[in-house]
Amino acid sequence: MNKLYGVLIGLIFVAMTAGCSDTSSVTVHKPGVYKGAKDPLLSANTEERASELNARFNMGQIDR
Amino acid sequence: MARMKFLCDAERCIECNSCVVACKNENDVPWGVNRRRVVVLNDGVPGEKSISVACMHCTDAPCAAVCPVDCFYTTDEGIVLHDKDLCIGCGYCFYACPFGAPQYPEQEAFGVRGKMDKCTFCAGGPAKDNSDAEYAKYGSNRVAEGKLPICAEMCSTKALVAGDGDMVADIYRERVLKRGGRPQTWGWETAYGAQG
Repeated sequence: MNKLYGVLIGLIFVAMTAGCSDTSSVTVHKPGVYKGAKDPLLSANTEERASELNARFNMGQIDR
Repeated sequence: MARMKFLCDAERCIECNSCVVACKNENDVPWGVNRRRVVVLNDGVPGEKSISVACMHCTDAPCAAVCPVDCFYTTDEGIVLHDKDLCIGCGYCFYACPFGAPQYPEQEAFGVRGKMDKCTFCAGGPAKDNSDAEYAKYGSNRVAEGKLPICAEMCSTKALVAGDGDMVADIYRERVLKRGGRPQTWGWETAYGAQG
């Protein structure tokens, strides 16, 4: 009988303390904001690349 | 600031599918995925039109708006790219995209969807430019090399044009003026009506 009480008390203790070890802080993400790795293309010189791409466009894609 | 755009001239496209082949070859696109497709309107009917369709790199991209993990970002040139490390392959972007651009490779049994794959405007993704890791995930990064997408650069009839939106618009305007009449852009009448 004492063994049964012991098991019962143990179960009640486990049920009462379940989740107590979980951290209370949560990570809140702002929706709509990209959270991945930064593309190196974004940090390159945009002006220089734009003129480079425009020159390339004029070289091959304009009508003859 | 330049905004990169594609334009397919339906009057010039001859449905050769070279853009599709070039894209697959340049980016080593997996089997079952087509980043670019040629769509034929009124196939077999006199006056049929063909257009080459891929991601249009929308200014207000619906794929980015619906993505639950926010894996999309836009470069300074207006190129819409995504991070495959964040993508969960949910398929929302596919439902949102009016062009059917997002594709999903079958990576496991029972047709389980892999990470989303789409046209990158040959600008790779968020990995070191022109690295093996970037090539394996996103394909080649021609923009970082000062080049434009291969599909447009090799188009034999110059139907598919890719570059700064203003320059693309100038070319198309000149063509329309030369041909006479109204713009024949696909979807024009749907958007603006027959008299538009």
